[in-house]
Amino acid sequence: MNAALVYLRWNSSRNRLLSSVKRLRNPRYLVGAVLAAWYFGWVVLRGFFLHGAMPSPSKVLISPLVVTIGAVLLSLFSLTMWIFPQERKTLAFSEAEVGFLFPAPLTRRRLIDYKLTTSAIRILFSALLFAFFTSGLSGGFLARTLALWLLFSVLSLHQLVASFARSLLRGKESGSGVKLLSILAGVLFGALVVYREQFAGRRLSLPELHHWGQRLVLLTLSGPLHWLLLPSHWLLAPLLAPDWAALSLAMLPAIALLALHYYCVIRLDAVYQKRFIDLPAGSDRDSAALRAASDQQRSRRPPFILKESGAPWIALLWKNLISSAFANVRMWAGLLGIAMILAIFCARSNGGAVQLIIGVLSGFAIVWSVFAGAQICRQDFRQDLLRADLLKTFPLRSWQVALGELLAPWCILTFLQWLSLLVAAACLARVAPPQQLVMGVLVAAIFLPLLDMLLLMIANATALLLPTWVLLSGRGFEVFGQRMLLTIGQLLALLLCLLPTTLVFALGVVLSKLFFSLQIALFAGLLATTPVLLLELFAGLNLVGKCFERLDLSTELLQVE
Amino acid sequence: MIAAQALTKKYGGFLALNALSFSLHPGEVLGLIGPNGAGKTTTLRCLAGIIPPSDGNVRICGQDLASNPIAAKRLLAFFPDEPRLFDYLTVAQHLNFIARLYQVHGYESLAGELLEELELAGKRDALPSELSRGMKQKVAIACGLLHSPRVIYFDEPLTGLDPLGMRRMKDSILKRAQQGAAIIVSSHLLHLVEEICSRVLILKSGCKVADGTIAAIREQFSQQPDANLEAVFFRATSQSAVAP
Repeated sequence: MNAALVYLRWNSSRNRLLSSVKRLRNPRYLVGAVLAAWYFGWVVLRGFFLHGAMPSPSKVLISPLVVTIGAVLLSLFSLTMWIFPQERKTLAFSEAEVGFLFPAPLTRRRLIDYKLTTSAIRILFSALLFAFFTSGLSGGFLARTLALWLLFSVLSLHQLVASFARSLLRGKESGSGVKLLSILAGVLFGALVVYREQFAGRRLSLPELHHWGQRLVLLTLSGPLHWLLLPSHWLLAPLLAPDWAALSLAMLPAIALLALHYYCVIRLDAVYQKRFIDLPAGSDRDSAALRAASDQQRSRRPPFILKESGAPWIALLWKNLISSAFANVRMWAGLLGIAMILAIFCARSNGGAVQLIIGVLSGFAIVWSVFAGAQICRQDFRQDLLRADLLKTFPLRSWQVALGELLAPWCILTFLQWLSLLVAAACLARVAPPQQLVMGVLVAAIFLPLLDMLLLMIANATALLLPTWVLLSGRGFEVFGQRMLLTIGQLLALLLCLLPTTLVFALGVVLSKLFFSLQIALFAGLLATTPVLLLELFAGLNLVGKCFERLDLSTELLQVE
Repeated sequence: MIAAQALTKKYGGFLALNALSFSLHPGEVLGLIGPNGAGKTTTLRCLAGIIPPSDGNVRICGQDLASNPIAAKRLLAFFPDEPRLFDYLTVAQHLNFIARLYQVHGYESLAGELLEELELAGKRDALPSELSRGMKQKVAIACGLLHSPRVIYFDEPLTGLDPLGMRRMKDSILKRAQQGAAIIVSSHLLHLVEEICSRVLILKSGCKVADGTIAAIREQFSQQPDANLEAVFFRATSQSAVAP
């Protein structure tokens, strides 16, 4: 890398560290740093030193079935990079970099090397962190860091390769997402038909499942599957090495993969530049370069026609839905179609393993979406924090802005959860008593959206009360502590919100039990909590609105400085 | 049309705006000038309802901004120095969005006219990332003017515009004023203020130093009748602040 670029990297990192230290004068950052230091010092480092320098990987981890499943999952993860569009964030240049480096006498290759080196350093920190958290799972700390760094680096480069390849293959064609969804639905349908032909009506026992596991391992030892999974095995091998000698040997193919990926990135970037960026003289080369670096965003079809009359806050929902990948009605219809296929298949099957797996996965998806959904779907205030001034000029009451902002992630989560619920219910159709199943589905269908809204409100209120914690996330050691505090705080807020609901539920069950059966009493208790939750949501909406009203980002950012 | 009464804004112990009072009538263009940190942007943000003042009140066409913010905000438009657009909305989608927020019936024809006027007709389906800074500013202006505001605030309106864009912007400001809008322009470009503003308000450290027509201020701070606004500005801001 060019000496000037090394200087830039070194000083940027040093100054960022100094800024982080200076920020600790602000109590809210100091608290985060203290908490992070305590966590690393007591919880992680203690666990790390308790384990030996180079312990052997745990027996569970090196069992052939686990390794094979790991390789399959890793391959599937790589496959998703080719199916779903990804931004080339690793190669995204900041405005300052474009301003200073693009006109400088540096080749594109040097700039790419600079970005990749920066990314490699960042990945090293991630690997260190992961190595801390996985102490005792496999190998020594350094060996694990090295193995994880190789794994993450290859995945990062693979993502770039896939993104470049997609852009080059796609050209200027649009709507590929819906096409891919249709293809996926077709493949899924085909797989289900084959499954029905082969295994319809068979119930698999545990020994049979074990036998299936053995067959899966055997299947991957030869034939095309073996070759398909080989790169994943190479990447996982360093993590499973019992000593340094084995690690050195295991790293060789992984390093070769890393080199191959690096070569591909350089070549594909050159081809991409030639095809899309080498513009005739007089074109806006800088902005073109910027766009190329960050994989140009495409305009998205609105989810529905927005008329100029009607509730104004719907405009915010419309805007935020466009910002998500779920802007397209055809996408929603496609997902509904896939869910329907799965549901029909599961409802007509007779308790097979696949049905069981689909049911468990659907249930897991629902539970996971309740816990993580509000943190992942961020098409709300958290996305618009920097535009808060603009939002405040709109002729809307603060609760209307809050409602409009919260609706998009809520709609997305509710839609996906109802789809999962449909599939899960279909899987249980043959085993659960119909009355209980209908009641369970009904209760879940009513409560999941209410719970989602509650969680979204808590997450948004936090973002509005502590905007800098959200805006500056990912920068500095103290951010880790802040995230811990945020998580704990949000959990406490959720528990506090659920306390009255739980009390009403208990009261409802006890009273109903005097007249009805336990089943009906439980159902009645749950229904009694609905107005309480609705009241809480109403109060919450006003609270989020008030938080938005009081937000003054200029003051917040000044305090950070 | 705009009436600010004892407008005060405190950030902790820092007084950003000290009991500022002034009024502006339809068709008037007020130039808000002052050195860095004088409180110009804070004034505009208070007047636009973005931040609540610590004390005092603002009335827009008779509507109190604090007690009746919806009615007041429907009548105004604020153009910050840095256009903040939504990254994922196209130019046309921005206008559609604003039309719903401000309930602009039959907005398509109005939007078409504005896009033509601002030379954005060919960029209807472009995302902000595909636009230059000047074009982004034009999109923000199109959005702001779509609901035909009666009160308009500009914060450094010429930043990022090419010479033709600057000329058009000045013409556009004057055109809106002729149509009866009350306009406040905050800028460091004194020649712009001199060219388009009928009144000037000079701020220093959150206090009003001068308020009146350019001729009146020239008379107040300069002995020379032909002194330019730059000379008057330096003289006004080098003296101590006067009572609000």
